[in-house]
Amino acid sequence: MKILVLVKETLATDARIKLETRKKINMVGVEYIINPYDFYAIEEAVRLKEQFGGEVILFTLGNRDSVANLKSCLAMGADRAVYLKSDLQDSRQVSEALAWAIAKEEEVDLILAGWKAVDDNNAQVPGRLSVILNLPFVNVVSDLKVDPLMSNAICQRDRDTCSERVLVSLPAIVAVQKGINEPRYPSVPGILQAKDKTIDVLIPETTPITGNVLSYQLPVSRRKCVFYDGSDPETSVELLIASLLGAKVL
Amino acid sequence: MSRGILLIVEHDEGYLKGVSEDILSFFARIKLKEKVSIKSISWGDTDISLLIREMKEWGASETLILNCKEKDWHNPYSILPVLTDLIKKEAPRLIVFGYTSFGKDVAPRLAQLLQAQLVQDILSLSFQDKVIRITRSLHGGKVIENLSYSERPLIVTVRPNVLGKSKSPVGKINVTTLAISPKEDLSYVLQDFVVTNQRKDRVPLLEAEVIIAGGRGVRNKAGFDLLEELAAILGGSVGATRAAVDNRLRPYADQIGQAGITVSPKLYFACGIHGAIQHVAGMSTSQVVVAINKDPEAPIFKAADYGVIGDLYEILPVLIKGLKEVLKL
Repeated sequence: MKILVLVKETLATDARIKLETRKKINMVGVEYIINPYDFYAIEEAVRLKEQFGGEVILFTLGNRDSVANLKSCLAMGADRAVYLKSDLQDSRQVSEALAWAIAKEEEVDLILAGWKAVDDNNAQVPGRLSVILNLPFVNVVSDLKVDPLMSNAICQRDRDTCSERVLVSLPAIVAVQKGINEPRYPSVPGILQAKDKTIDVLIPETTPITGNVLSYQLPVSRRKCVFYDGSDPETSVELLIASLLGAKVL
Repeated sequence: MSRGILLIVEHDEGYLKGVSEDILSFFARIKLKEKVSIKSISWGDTDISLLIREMKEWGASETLILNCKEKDWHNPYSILPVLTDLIKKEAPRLIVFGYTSFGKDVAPRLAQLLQAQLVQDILSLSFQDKVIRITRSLHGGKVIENLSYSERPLIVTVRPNVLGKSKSPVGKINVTTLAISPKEDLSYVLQDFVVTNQRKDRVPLLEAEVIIAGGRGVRNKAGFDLLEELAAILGGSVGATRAAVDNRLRPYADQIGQAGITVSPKLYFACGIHGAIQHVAGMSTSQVVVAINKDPEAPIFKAADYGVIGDLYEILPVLIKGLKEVLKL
């Protein structure tokens, strides 16, 4: 099976964000990680490779030195990576650039992705890509069973109040939800092997659209906590309930 | 020049989803400089009378109801061709979805089919001269981004509980129905429904107005049973932090935080939650926050309006008893 995995670098989630100006986020000293959801996609791809044989190729787009993060993904068992070096941020442009790069691969069976990225929360690329590449797409998948012989897969797709089991024909795009598997920590042999795995750099020629962002602001925390001493549960609960009634939230 | 606004309205057996109430009443309230047509689209099977009544209550004066089964509405391959066709004919300026599983599924694909811009999970929207101003949050809520779009059409998905809701009953609603025949698409076939451990009678976490969340301090199932009991009394839903999910006490779908879902309820209880920045990012826009934690230094108290310094296993039973009395349950 030939499986592509879309991967994205995001700001570390424990980063404290500062603004350089109203129009610019201060990126100095900030650490970057791989989008947490993407590990589930990589793990799923590697498991499928272990089960059915084949190749797992990572695709990422960014303008940073992502080598270290990509190598740790390769160490999980992916075979190679394609790195689109670009400033593109707009989801439509990113999708089109990825589609351009993906089109260079032949006989792809499956494209996996985390269903969203924790930085911009756009959650658009897999869906947009499915239209550009004309592939069936299942979103927020928490269980995946692939049948390479029948060239289809059964996806458990999580909706708000229930889940559906959907049969898709391959090739398809599947955006995974956390919990679909337990991503492995790279093993020492995996890390050593990753040193020799290739990262091909492609440069899309698109100029990024800008102009939609007016400004940024940091949310103001206006809360001042009123404390109750819980060592006297009865009294503290009584006071709390009175406060909540006063605040009209009960 | 396209001017109209299209609102995608979702419901559960005729009862509008919270975010649809938000959207309908928002657009019923705003005063636009020019006369703009605001039209809703929803789906209905046999009896749509409850749905129509609800839509009238919340301010819809014109609606198109697609005649189909629920499973066809939720099948992107059945619904997309219909929506795309309609939108190409109507040429609206703005298309508004709720940030629901339907919105997340359909909006990006629709946006690409229409070559349109899409902003997901927006916090606010306003019309200024020839542009639409939008705010949304980045990095799990640590930064608010102010955006402006003149491109048409613009598609947005709206976060539940942020636009505010107010019943704006209309006297008359103009209803058109359109029968749609679900496509037999062999590349995407719905097989069956799987019952998740999400209880059907609970409001989905994303839409809940009251959330009782548990963290590392909720050490076991008995603890989460307490949270469930509190949720039941307040008509709320139970959420969790990453710690509780990692301990396998709650499913991933319940995780609130930067790498989970972002919620904006009226009332948020943080029980045994330390208050790591990634979690706070997912609930900081809650209207009122109550934190219960043994540790007076826990950072969660900086994000709370009320804090009980105590053991949740002692406090919650007393709170449950107290609320039952006060709410006469």
